[in-house]
Amino acid sequence: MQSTTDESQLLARIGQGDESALGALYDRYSRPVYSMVLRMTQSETEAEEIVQDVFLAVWRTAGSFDADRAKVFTWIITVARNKAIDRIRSLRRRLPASLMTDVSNHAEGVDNGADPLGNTIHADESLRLSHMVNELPVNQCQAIQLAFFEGLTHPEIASRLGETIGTVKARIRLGMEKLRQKVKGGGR
Amino acid sequence: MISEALHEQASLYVLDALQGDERTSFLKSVAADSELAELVAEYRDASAWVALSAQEVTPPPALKGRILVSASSEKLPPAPSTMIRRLENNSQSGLQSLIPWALAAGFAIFAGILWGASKQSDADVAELARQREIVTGLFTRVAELEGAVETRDREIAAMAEEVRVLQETNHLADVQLATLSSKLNASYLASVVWDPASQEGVLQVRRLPELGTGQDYQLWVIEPDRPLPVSAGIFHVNPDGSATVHFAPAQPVPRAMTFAVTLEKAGGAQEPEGPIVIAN
Repeated sequence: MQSTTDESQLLARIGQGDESALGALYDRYSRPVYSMVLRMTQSETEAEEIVQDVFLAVWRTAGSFDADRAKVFTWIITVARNKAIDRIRSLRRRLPASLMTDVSNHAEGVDNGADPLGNTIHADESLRLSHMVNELPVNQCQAIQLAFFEGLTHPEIASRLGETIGTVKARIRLGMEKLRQKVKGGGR
Repeated sequence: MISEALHEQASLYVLDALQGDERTSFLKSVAADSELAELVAEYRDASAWVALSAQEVTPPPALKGRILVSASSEKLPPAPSTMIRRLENNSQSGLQSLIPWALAAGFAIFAGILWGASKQSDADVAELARQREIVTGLFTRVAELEGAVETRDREIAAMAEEVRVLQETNHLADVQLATLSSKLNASYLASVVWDPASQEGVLQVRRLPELGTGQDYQLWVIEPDRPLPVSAGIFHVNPDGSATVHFAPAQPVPRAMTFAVTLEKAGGAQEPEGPIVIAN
């Protein structure tokens, strides 16, 4: 998804210190970012801190970000995910493995509020693309999600799934290739 | 033509699932091949959409306000000297700890130069794609370094908390606990937590009868060698017979062994006069 003109203008205004523009960008992206980080950290407190860190990072660096060439959504998600992975890996270092639970099914049943304004990223295209991820073959989706949400390396994923490293690599490669083609084609 | 192996490495790389020498080797390939860099950018875009497969949860309404308030109070990014002071304040100060920030600063400056590049001709599109991937990686690296510093700050804070808890635990080893019982009524209950070091304690009572006017309960602390108990004050109970009383005896009682509650006239007595209600 290339950044839209609207996003370019938002970023430019944020770069000029326009807080209302930051608020508008928050309205658009906070929900997917928060959902992702909550699933990764399983902590509402951590998720809130990370979302706050991410949008403050946008506030600080928007002026040097070229939204015509870059993809704001990709950038925001990447920064948020890296922060979440830092915390997950730090936690893993501090806690015995027996206390680390599988987060892959976290937040099942956790509600989510309505979006009366309909102005978040979850409207049309994004919904179709999110379904697209879940429509991948289960084993490909599982391997990708273990890497994405839990920050596992391919040997760790192989160990978790009881598969060979080669199998895991192939599953990730096939799944990611499908996603890439779908995103390039607008999800169709 | 990009090989299948590089496709595979690219898909793993954008998920941070590529490690060690394989990752290093792959990054060298990306730096040398604009077509591969463009492929990585496409995989990265695709990976971002994986985020949307998480179950949707709406962030707390107050979060937006907090972010805007923080942004408002932070009009300018912190100067490098500020960041250096922050590191100096950490327990792990020294030149080595500045290296990540120096790298981050270098990356940021480099990133700024790249992002500030003017419009390019169509022939440069591939090169720009490669630069974009590099810059994305640099932004990511800066964020990683920021995250690492934050993580270390939190770990230091957590360790300080552990030290505090251990100190408290060590102190608690000297604290005395006493359970009091009554010969008047077996349902009367009381307990005392007594800290000889601070000469303070807490008395908790349950199911003592509520007193009318003209009478008070009085707590006494008794030492083996002292001829008279030392008063630790009077107290009343709630309608349900409970009370929690923080007390400090009128005189030092370094060898306090026994605690007793007596029924005294209103205002208490200089020495016990009334019946013992409960004691250990």
